[in-house]
Amino acid sequence: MKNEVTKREDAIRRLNAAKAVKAKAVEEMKLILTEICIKQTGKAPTSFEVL
Amino acid sequence: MIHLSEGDINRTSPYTVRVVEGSRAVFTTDYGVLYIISFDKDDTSMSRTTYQFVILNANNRQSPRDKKLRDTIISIVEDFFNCNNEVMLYICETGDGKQAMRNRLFNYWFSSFINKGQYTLLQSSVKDEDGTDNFFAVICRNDYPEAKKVVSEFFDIVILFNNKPKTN
Repeated sequence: MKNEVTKREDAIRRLNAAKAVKAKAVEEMKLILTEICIKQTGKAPTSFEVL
Repeated sequence: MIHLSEGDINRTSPYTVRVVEGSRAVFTTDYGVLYIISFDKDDTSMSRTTYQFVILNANNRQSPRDKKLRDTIISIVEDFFNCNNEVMLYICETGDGKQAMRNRLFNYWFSSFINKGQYTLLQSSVKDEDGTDNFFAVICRNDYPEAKKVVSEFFDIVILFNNKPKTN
């Protein structure tokens, strides 16, 4: 049972780590989109939708 | 280091795609919505390196049932697999509670892609410690050298989450 709990905790840790990878990528991607929007329209985006 | 081929993508993509920073693709839809797609290296989620498929748009605008959007996304993903025989991981964003809708959108986008029979798609959802449903998918080419191990690990993870051990 203890082993199962440890494995589950590891799975939760991996899920949270995956979300952290995604969050970091999203921040970098927002910067790219902002730069492109400013070049195209002169304005920065007001919001973003992450899918 | 993975890469994308702008030339190959644009041979099949309805929208003109520009590759930036090697592994990110940018395009604008007929509705004027600017999208970016990325494949980010992830060494922590599984026992092997995966690449997270991340997509976002500017100004929070949608392109409802835009077939050209779907076909452009598929062109980019196909190119990812043509250029890199790697494992792709997709986790639906959960921040606003719309993850089930995103999962349906993912299914709409990828149904025709998977029907080509060259890929293995694994999908599930698990509840995290807050009770939030997390929809996720793993895709690899059928000829990925460790495809069977990917399938096995995927189901191990799902079983671990869904069989919550008793604490008494």
